[in-house]
Amino acid sequence: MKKKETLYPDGYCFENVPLAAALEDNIRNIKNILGNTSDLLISPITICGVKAAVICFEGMVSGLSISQMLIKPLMRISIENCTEKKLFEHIRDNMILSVDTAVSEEYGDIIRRLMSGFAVIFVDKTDKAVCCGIQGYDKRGVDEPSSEGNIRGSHEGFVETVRTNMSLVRRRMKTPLLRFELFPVSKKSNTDVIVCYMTDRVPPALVKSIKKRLKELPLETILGSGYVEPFLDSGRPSVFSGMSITERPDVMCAKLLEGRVGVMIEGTPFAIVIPAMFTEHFQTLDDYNFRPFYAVFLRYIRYIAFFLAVFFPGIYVAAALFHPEMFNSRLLLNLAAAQESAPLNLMWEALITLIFYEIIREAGVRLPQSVGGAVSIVGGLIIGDAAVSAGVISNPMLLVCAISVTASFVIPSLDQQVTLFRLAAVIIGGYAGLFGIALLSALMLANICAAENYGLPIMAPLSPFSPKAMGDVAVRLGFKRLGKRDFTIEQLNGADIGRAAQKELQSGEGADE
Amino acid sequence: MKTDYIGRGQAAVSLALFGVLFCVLNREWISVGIGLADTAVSALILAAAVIPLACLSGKYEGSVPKLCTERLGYFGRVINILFLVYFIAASGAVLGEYGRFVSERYFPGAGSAVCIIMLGLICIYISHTGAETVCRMSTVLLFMLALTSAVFLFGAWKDICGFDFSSVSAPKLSLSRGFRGLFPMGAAGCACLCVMSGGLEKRTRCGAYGGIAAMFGAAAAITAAVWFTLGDYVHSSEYPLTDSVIYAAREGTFRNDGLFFSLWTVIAAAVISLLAACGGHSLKCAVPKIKSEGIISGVGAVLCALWGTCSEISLCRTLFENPLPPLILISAVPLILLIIGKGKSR
Repeated sequence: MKKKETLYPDGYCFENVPLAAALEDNIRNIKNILGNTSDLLISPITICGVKAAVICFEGMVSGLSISQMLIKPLMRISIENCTEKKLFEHIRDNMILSVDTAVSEEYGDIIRRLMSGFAVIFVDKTDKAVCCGIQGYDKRGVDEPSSEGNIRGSHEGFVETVRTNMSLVRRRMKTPLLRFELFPVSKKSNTDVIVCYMTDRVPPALVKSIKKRLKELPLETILGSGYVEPFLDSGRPSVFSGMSITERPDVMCAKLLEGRVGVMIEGTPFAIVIPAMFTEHFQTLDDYNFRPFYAVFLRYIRYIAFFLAVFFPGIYVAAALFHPEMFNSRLLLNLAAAQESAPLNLMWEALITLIFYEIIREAGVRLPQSVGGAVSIVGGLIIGDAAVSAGVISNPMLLVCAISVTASFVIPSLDQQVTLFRLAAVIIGGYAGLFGIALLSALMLANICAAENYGLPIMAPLSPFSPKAMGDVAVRLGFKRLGKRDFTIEQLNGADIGRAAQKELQSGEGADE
Repeated sequence: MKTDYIGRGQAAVSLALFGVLFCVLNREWISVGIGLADTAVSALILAAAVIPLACLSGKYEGSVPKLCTERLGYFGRVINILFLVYFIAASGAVLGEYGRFVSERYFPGAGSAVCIIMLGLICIYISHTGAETVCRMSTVLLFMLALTSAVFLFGAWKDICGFDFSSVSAPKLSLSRGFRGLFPMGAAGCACLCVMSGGLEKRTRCGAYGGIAAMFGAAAAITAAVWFTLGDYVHSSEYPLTDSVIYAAREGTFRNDGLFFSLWTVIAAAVISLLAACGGHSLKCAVPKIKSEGIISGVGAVLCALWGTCSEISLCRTLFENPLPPLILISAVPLILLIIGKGKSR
């Protein structure tokens, strides 16, 4: 490793290169690899007459910890007839500088640790280095999840740091059967990813297959869970996904207990759960905190809300344009009166209203929260009212669209699919009436039924039908009965997760060969 | 195309949908007694016809087209082509009939060709996803069917209670009439069993006979319900089931027959797609290297249906209504395979 070019011609050749013995060489090589970046801190020190250095990244380690836990103890070292070897062995064997300590011999490992918030101690004439985990970077505190609110459950949500997320899950599942496997993925960003599962509930082939896919990710960087999701979906392309996303550690624990695998990614609070079912979109944590009868009522409210969110504007347009005889006579007269002054066809009216809503929503999400509220007021109240007063949009249409949009808030995890199918329903309902709506229903149903991930049809346990699982789908049994079931998704009819994962592994190996 | 995970329940429910669709499209209602008797005879003929299939599937692994290719070589592939032709003809005939029904009763603005193309496109997609998808759809449809039946019963309760049950007379059973009415649709469903049996394992007999029973049950219940609601007015109706639903809905604030119509359309899509998907499976068994077999079979069905609307003589309709082709496929072919033996035993 003499020149910069020979060390890393493609930028990553240092990966398995062993450390040099001389301290100067090591420091120079690290500077070369990192391009003498401004946030690299190199502190040369002399301990008992031996040259050493502490290297870390600014902002990645805690300033207080590094001075109290590293520099101070190092400066207090007193060894008679101290040599480089004795000093290194003393630091390695006799000092507990942090709970997360490791010895590294390669530049690749050193660089990765430096970037993960480790401080690295180099000793002269030693081709090894001691890495101490004293991470102290700024991070968001554990907070209420933004996308999965609840009333009676925990108010803790995942954060952007996977190690914190790991602890949030571990605190709830104090069992040796819960395993976390942390490894870096993506060649350039080396993003930390954790795969977690219960050893007694998950087929080993599923864990292997997921880990294999993650390790082979052809991505340069992973900045969110959405980057990884397409690579973990093993079924045919579908609008509906065979995996779910959660921001809640308690939900993650529940899913792990059912025999699923969780994937947590550094930098995002959204963890992926594989595989998932369609019916899970209608289940919330509060269902299990409320009394069963009320939970069942809420669940059916969600099923109805999904139907309203997707089909209500479409059915209204289809019925009003093609099948007015479906309405009762008084309502029909009211609708006709309202529609009389509207200049647009009902279908266009619905489309304009829904697209306008999407614009307002998008503006509300992208703008700062203080301005976002104002956008909602201006968009929803002022423009909406003005549109009705001007006769561009009729009152019944506004009501129908508002009901549909409000219903879609009940199932936020299906928001993307609902938006797509709602617009499609309006268009096809406007051109083909109820026949078109029925065709769209068939298409949607087929799309959901065709989707599966790792051998689990996402329409399970409805189809293939599993009576045992109905206790938590059609109704919500009380915990006296629900707790005894010891249920895992492998028990569902039609689920063949182990075999599908094994097949995935074999097909991957075949492709590799 | 996957057929390995179709359970007996899914197979049975899928066949029940054939019974429902038969009632939607049926225009020949003679009398409640004769209708029920003919349906029962059709079901009995089908139950007898599937005996070799049930024995074969209980003994050997794989669907009938797959077994044909494995054991009969090129002759087996020719049989698979016959399966394909039959499935395309059947799906084309049903698609054509349903397109005409939609055009006449619910979407008069469009010609039947437009309806056929719209429904056909959806069916092509569904058949591309495979027979297993359709079977999964069927289970969900069963819930919807139960819900709509409850709505129907609620609306027609007074008519059912006020029906003169003494007017129902037991007719003489007729074998020749058994080959009409439910038979073509039922036989198409049983032909689908030849493909679905690949996943039924040793429970084939449950799936087959449960399916025939479900199909008979659905057809018989609807036949009776239509008669109870419409009475003798059934003869003056072009589509009695539709009219009985409209009649039952008369007391509601909103006319809910649109709900039924939507459900029937989804059922029609499922049935046509299942037939096309089974055709695709047969094609795959005949020509293993072929890809997008479901799409090819689906496109064939749409073309057949369109041809039926243009031409006075519809070959696919003739093939579908003739009892001989399905009987050969669901009885003779499995019997040959059973006699030849030496397959991969379960």
